[in-house]
Amino acid sequence: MKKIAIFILMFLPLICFGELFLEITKGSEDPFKVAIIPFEGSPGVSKKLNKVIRNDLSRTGEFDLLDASLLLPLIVEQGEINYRDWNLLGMDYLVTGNIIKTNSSIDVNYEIYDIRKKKKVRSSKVFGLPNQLRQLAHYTSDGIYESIAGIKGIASTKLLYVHDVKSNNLNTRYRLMLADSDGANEQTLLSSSEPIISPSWSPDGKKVAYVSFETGLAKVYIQNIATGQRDSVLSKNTQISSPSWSPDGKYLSLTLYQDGNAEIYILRLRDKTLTRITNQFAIDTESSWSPKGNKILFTSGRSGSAQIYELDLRRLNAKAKRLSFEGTYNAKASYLPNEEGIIFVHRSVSGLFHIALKYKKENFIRILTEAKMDESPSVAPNGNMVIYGITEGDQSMLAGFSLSGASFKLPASEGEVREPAWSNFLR
Amino acid sequence: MTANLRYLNASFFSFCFHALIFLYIYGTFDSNTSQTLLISKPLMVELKFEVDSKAANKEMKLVSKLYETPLLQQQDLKTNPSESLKLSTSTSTIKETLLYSNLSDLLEQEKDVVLSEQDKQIFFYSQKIIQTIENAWMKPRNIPEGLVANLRLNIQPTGRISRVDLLKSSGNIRFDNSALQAVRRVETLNFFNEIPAGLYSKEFKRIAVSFKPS
Repeated sequence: MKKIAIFILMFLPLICFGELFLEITKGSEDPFKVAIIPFEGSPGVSKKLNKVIRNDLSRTGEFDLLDASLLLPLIVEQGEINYRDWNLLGMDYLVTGNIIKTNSSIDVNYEIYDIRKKKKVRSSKVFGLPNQLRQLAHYTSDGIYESIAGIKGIASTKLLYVHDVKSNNLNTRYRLMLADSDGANEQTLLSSSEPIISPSWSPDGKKVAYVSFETGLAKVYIQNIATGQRDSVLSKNTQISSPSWSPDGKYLSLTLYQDGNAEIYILRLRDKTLTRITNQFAIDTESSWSPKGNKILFTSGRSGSAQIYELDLRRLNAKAKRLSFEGTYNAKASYLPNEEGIIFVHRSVSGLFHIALKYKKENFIRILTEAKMDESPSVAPNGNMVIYGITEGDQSMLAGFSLSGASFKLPASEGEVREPAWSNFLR
Repeated sequence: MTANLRYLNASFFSFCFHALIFLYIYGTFDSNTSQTLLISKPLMVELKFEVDSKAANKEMKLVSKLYETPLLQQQDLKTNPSESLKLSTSTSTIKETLLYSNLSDLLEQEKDVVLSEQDKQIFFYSQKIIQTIENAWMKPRNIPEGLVANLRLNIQPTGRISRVDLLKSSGNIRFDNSALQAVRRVETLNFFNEIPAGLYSKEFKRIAVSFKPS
């Protein structure tokens, strides 16, 4: 009986097919026009919060924020939203809010109005300790982003990067840093006199893996962010580099130099068993996992130049598939969150390094940045933003862009900043 | 040794068996293979309708009898009015059948007119829906070419979109999301109260929308 029911259900959609089919071909490519009335509250707090929210939203590239000075004549009306005036200004959305600060907590209430629908679309509250003001601002901007753009915001995610500072006696300090997605609120996770490279997030955002040269050899360490406890993952007497966590957090892909040249291995963290997945006379390195965890991207020199390859882990003895064919150097690839494409470093004909995007369905690459020496891109968990390292003059710093068109820089106060890694969603 | 012989025997029979299967598949045993010929392409056939000129003439004359003669002249039929008058003695049975056929023709025509009226309405409201959604759609930038996302909307008689389903994903999160968000932004199609109830339940209760940037 059940089977018959299932059978009928299977064919039901075919029977009901005769519905009206409409085709939408035109859409606006302009960003959403949003007016944010500065949140009211105690002056010091509200000014800082408003600034953070504005910066968060403009970095996404999906919002056209109305200039705050234009808002002044319209703020006067309290309680009642004058939809007609906002409509005349060409606004799509209006955001209002207030901040209540007590000794033990800060509450941020905000409301979002759809001007065309003449209706409130969201009314939310975030609260936290007084010293978490930035965090609250990021949560608020994520809330605004989510209800207008429809996908999760990344303002409340974190960044990892390496900061090198030359001290007076010409010794360089290498520091592994953790910061908010806007580069503020920096914390030092590790400070060392030997180089640190390739930081990588665990998928739950609680641990980091990185390569440190503190023993003279390149070794991969895993460090717990909260406790600071750190362990070397493998006690082999060989160079180990470029760690990358699998999406389920159970495996770490690594590059080992024990076979004479660089090969990619997968390490099961539970019992430290190693599985070799590449076997080539050429160098294979810079592995990164697909969002589903069934494929691995890596850079290999097997064709004579550095190119990006993809390996299917579900098939036994699968052959690596070459993904990049343009130019003589393509490296440091990572997947977009839906596996629809890859972001990587591409050397153009003129010898400059750019961040490029290649969609699976397309047979050409899209060059996304125009600087000279762009390196190690890392994709935000919502797939809309990419952070990477640039070199301006003789200083290297972090820069980012959104696929929607905005770009930004995170200049360092001193020293060199490189190799950013974007965390997963932390909420 | 015996074991080897058994293997040999087995392989020999296996070979024969497989050979038979192959031969069967390739049609060796089929005596009349010509029957399997299929016409894969439509053939061009010239159709000739030979109309007996005399009979045709007669019919015209009969028709002319039914209508008034001046009308016929207007219609440019080469019939002699005087001739048609002469034929007024045609049997009543023919007359009747012709009358009926004319009536059914007229009915058919009327139906066509009514139908096209409804089609016009469907077209009109479809255009309106498309326009409303297009106004609300923010197409993401830097997306691959040739993306298509299909949605199904369940719409209440008031025009409120009560449910949105993603029928076919484009494979691009940002594109799918922009389509869903466009529909969410529309929320209510406020011209739905103008749509006649019959037409609404027939056509506009559930519609499929395809996002396909040109």
